[in-house]
Amino acid sequence: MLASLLIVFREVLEAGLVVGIVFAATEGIPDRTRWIAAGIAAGAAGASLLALFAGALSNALSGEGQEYFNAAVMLAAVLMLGWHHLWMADHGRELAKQLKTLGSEINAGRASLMAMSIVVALAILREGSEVVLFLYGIVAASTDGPVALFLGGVGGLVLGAVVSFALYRGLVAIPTKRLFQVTGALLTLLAAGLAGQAFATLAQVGAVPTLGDEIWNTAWLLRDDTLVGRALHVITGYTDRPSGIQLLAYGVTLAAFVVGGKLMHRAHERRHRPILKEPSNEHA
Amino acid sequence: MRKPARAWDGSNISSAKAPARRCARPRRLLLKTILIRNQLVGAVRPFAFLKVLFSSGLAVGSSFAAGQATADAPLQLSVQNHHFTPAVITAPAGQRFMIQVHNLDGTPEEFESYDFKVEKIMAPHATIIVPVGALKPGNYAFFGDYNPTLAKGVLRVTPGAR
Repeated sequence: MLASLLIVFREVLEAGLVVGIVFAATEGIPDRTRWIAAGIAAGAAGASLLALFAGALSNALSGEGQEYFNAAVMLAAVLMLGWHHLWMADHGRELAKQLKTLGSEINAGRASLMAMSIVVALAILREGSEVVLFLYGIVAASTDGPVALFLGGVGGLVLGAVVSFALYRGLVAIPTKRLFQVTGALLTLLAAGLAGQAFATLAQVGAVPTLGDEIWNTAWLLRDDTLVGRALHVITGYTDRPSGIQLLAYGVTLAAFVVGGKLMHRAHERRHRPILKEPSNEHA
Repeated sequence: MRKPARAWDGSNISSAKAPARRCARPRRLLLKTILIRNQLVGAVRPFAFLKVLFSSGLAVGSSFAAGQATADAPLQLSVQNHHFTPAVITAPAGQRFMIQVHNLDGTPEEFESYDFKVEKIMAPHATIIVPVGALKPGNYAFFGDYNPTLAKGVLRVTPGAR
């Protein structure tokens, strides 16, 4: 029971960390609960469907269907995160300002909310199908006490959800002025990590060159198979033995987010610069 | 068994039929072509694979793994009653190779290794094949993620030949 609890907990936590960060990052945008709930539901439905066709998907593309699918899902999530990131660079400050005044509304948040809803759905789709398959395996192998194992699985699910919620509460405890800076940085790292992992997956099936199988090895410091290692892997893209292409994709995505955000922010400032009229200038 | 090698746009790289197994030279040439193509595509158009996925159908991916595989047959591994047989497999250092895993159980399993970065789901009674990157000599643990306490094994990478 404990083993199944741990397995499900780990998978749920991986998706849950993403959901927690997204929840904090959309703080103050109206209707966000409905949108993100829709993302969770769509992700869960997709995960069940995916588990049903896991065999077929795995056999597709000469046995590499799963890898291509995962890479496509991760890169789609990166695109959605990029969209949200640019939108926040444009509107983040107003959002933070209006958060302080109760009951205010931002109407332009719709498109960004949809992007974040998709990010949540994709995260759950990817991790959820593994949970569904695992639970199915328990039910199918009826020999060793499926009820206890299944209860353990459900316990893991609940525990994962609780920890994700705690993460969200921890994040929104950050003062409003800083909240979007923190969540923006977290989402940027998340996107860079996803891009790196997507390209590592593609390199594994040989679709892109690896550019070096193991650039460094920090397994002595923090191994990927520890809980902290997995959590850091989800949030920051940490891995103890990165490949060259993984680092490259990570760096490029990180740079694109930082530069893109800066440019968008600058454009925003230019558009909304207050027009100053100083009478002293007109005298001269 | 092997599908003809194809370029990104779906056209055949060599218009001739895929070379026979015994014929070493042209085969190597073909491999080289695929490798160079992959590198070019990887460097210049990193998102090109999306185009492949969405435009020219789903049958294209096959050539890439074939391009990266060594000429040797894949290492064989099976899972039965949530245990790996053999529990220890051996591979040579410094070159890519494949591991073929047969899931003989009626339940799904995930073949996973943190040490050599593999994570692949196996449907009940399914067989998967995973490529492994060039490794340094040493012991690399792998396991079945759905039964991690039972399904455990070690990949031993040795400096010499297999």
